[in-house]
Amino acid sequence: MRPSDQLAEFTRDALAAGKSRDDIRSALERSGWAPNEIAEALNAWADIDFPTPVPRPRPYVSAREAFFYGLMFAALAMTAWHLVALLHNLIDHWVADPLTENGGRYALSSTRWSIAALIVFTPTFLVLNRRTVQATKADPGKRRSGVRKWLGYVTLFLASITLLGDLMAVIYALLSGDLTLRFILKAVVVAGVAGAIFAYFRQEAEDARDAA
Amino acid sequence: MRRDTLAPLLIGAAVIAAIVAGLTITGGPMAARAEKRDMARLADLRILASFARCVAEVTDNLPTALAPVDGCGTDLPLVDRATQTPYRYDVLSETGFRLCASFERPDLITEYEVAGASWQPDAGCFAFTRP
Repeated sequence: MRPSDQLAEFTRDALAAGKSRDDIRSALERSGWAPNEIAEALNAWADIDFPTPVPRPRPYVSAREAFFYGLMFAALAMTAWHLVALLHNLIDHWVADPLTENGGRYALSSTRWSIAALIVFTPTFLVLNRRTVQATKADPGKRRSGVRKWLGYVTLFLASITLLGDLMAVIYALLSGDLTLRFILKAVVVAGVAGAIFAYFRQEAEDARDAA
Repeated sequence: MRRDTLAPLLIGAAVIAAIVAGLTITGGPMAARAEKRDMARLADLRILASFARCVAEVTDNLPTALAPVDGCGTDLPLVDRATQTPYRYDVLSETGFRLCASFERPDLITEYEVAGASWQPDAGCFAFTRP
């Protein structure tokens, strides 16, 4: 049984047994539940005079959370992707490979796209991340948000795939004679960015593991 | 606590460094505008080249100057749209000619920009031979 189900069941049982809302609140507080979780559990039952607890209609997931976390992780993904793309273009520019032709104007235009994407999405990610960190500090129960946990794991999944793909590309390049300085630098860039995301969100995922 | 402040700082620093390095390569809005003017010049030179080839086809001689000829186009882009200076047209031989413009970023132009021409970066010219 999921912790949120246990909490809902406990609240219903306690209300049915005639305990006051204040008693239930203090019992839950002593057990380590966060204030917003307790309020949510109690608000799930209408405060009216009836022999058994009466449920209130409730949304399944918080649309507001889905918006914030969705935007934050999308901004993170765009930042990571375009940072890698921009660094790859820089490597192409600085480290010449005599066997490969210069991308010319095409490379410039893709560099400009990446710069534009970073100017938009990096501040977006940093602002949303800051808000999330502050909100979590004020209210530790937010760490157990299902939406946040899921999107966090999706990001972790993408980072893992990127790392594995990177490893595969390096091995393929080694086997087919492409292992130039240029390629090694590019692989290091991908590994660095994916590894940073991985390290950052593994902590987050561990924090939320209790609520699995 | 430390991770909360350090990670965003590192991300921000890495991104700003990458953007600055990227801008030194692409050259910012003014350089991009110059690149755009070069693209317009290239488009004009392509039209003039096909005009000269058409005249050579019709009259069996390369044109001595870029003057409108019926059947090969009369609305020719003879002057640079940005600077209003005329493009240069030189007849090199019976079968060869070249078209020149004052390109602002010749380093970005490759030989493939104008079909069948050889690019002379120092002069800003494309040299053609009659087919």
